[in-house]
Amino acid sequence: MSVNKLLPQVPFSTLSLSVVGIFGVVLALLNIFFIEQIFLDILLLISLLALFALTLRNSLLQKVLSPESLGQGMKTAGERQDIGGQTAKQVNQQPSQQLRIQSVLADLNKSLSQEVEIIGNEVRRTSSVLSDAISGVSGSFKGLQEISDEQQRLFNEIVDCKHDPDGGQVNVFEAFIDNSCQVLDDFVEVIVKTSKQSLETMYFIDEMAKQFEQVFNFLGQVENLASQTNLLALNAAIEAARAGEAGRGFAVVANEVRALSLNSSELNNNIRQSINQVQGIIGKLRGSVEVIASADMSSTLEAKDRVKDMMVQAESVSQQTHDTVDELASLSPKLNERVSVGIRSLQFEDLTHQILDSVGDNLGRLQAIAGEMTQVEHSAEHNIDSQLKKLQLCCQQVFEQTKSADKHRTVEQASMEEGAIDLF
Amino acid sequence: MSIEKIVSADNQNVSIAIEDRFDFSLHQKFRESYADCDTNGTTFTLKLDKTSYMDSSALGMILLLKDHADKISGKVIINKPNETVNKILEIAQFHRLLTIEL
Repeated sequence: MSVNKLLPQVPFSTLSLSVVGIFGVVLALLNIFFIEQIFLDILLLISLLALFALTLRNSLLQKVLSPESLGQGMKTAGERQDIGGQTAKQVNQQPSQQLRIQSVLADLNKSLSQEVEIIGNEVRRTSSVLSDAISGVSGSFKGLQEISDEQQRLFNEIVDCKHDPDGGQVNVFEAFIDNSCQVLDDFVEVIVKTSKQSLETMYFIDEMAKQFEQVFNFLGQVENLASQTNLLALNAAIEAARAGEAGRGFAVVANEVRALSLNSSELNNNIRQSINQVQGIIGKLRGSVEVIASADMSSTLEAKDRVKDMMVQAESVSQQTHDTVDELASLSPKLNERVSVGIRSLQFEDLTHQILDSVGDNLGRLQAIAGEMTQVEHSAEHNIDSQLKKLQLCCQQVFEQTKSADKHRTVEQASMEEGAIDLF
Repeated sequence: MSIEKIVSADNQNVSIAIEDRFDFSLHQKFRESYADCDTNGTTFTLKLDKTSYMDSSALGMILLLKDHADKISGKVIINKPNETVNKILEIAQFHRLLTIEL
């Protein structure tokens, strides 16, 4: 009958198991959300250790304290059939039974205390590792945010520069192409003007050539005159000879006139030769002017086309650069947003500390049970029933405390998504 | 390479058609085709639909024709130049100086 009173201890163990189990599940979930956070792995390991320890303890308790099975009547705890070979009929042997129970409790207490101490230490260690890691991560996020801001500033500078008509490399390039276009236009204008002037010159040369033709005509007439004069002089000489002595003086004059006409013929030939040379020079002049006037425009046409292509290309490059810069600039706010989400997510530190504190509370309660066990162990009282009753009462109290604390905790551990607090 | 000139009955419209190459070799014939047209307000239509090539001297000749037309308060119209010829006219910015009918 007295042994049955110990049974409420079993729910306590189950509760501890479930607490540690839930903690483990929470950690596993956190682990999923925050991959690469080593302290979460450590926490998970610890919870698994605790789970193992508690399961061990539970099975020990069950073996020691619970009846073997339902329907087989009452069997005493600590009196294992395979060890002692004792049966339920030996219930009356109170003193030895008390000693046994005390000894088992002492063992239990020992291992419980050890586990509690180890878990407590690990929890503290995790807490400090967590704090260090969080400060590192938040520092890194802060740096990231600063870099992102700087990047945004630089992008804005580029965008402003591009919108400024006096600045920017692309604009310089466009201005260069504009200039090239202008130079080409000026060049064509000069060519056309030169051609026009050359043609005018050509027309003057044609006029001049016509005038020279006229001079040739005149020269012909002069030549005619000279030959007639020559003929006349010859006639005069003949008539003078016929006149005899009286015509001697006249013959001299006629010879002089003839000589003059011959001289004039020679002069005429000289003039004709000179004018022929001038006409040759005019022919060369025509050739030169023709070369000046006739510039082939096809190369200019090609140059113009090339400049036009360059213009189109420059425009597309400019547009592309502009688009890319805009796109890059729009990335910065996104980066900032991601960083903010990261920083906000660091609130899990608070939640984790709360959870660790809660685990600390649970450990405290385990310690309280251990303390109660120590009392049973060292009690001089011989009535094991009342001792066990006290232990049971303590366990029930702890059970209730844990239950209410767990409810409270469930409320506290709301999702991180709800908190939109920026830590900086 | 030839120049064909048609003068309207009232001497107000002179049409000059140029075949094949329009270059320096035509300068004398071209000048002759308009030099004696001095009716006030004459319109000179330069038909370039059969012109395949044009160099800068052709441009100079057209400018001289324009000078002549300006002197008698007339005007010059360039009619149907082919693509290449039109490009050359554009490069020389003739569309600012004269009417070009495409």
